[in-house]
Amino acid sequence: MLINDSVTVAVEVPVFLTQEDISCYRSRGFDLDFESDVITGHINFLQIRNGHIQPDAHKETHAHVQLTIYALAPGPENQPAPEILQVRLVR
Amino acid sequence: MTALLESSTTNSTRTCLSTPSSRLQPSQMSNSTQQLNPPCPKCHCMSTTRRGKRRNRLRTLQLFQCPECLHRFTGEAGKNRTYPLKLILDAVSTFNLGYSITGTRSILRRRFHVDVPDRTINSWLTAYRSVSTYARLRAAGKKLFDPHSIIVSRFFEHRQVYRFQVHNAKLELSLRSPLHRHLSPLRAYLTAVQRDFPHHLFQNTAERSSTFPAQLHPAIFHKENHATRLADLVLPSSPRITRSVTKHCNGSCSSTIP
Repeated sequence: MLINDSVTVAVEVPVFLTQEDISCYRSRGFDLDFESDVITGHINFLQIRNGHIQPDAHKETHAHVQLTIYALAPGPENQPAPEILQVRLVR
Repeated sequence: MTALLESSTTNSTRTCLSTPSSRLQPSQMSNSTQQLNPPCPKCHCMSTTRRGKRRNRLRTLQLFQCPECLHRFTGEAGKNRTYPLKLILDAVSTFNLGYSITGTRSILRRRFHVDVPDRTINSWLTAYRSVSTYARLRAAGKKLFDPHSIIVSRFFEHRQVYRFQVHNAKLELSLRSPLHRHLSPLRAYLTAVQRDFPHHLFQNTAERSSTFPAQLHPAIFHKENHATRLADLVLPSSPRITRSVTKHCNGSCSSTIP
């Protein structure tokens, strides 16, 4: 997929959210109902498609939760606007 | 194309519908019934048995027989092709890395000990051009990076070993587009992952998002697209893909946040 399609730019991308990132997202109106100092994860496929960044995952039990967290990473300072993010689950 | 995209039906758990006695619940099935025998393509009976092998020039195919209609069949994708599906996919992938057809041929000869004619490789590239969409970016990508540096790989030991990979050409070409110019911080992030990255944060299992108990409810909708068609091509050719993944990769869900 990384070699043959035109939109997948990276695989197994490590991402993390710090407490500051979570607080920042809350201040921007996100309703994040969890308490943790750090959240980590690995994005299976990272795609750039139609003006959006799309983190993909499959096989995980709570994939939609994971993908939403992935979409918020790598932190608010690296993302110009939350509305450009899309979450896609291949299932 | 149709032969390659035929779905791998080796993982279905449907029971045989023809005889009431054979209508078993999944929990009642014995281990032998739950093995990877594909259902009969004619009557969809699940109780198929292995019945010999068919030896071709380059590979050996397992034959199955249906006890109901006595139909004999092979369960593998790409069965009507001389060359194995993995070799075909490898040829297309090697070419897309930036190698010439002659270079691809010599790599395949080294890797599989098979001499594939140039025109055969060319026919595969033509046949799968619609699936391998990188083909239209290949010429531009080849000018930017050579085949050895087009993909960067790093191994990370984050509780388990992850192979992080970045396709430099696609990243560069995508971010050049005016549509994606605002995503340029992504390049800095992917570069930082390779150099200065807090790997110590990934050693604690409790903070992994896969185990996270958050209750988020993004809108989810179903669709089929190019990604699912590509998955149909790739997954049957990979022996390491588990049956659940192959079974579930027949559609996609999307959601937009917030």
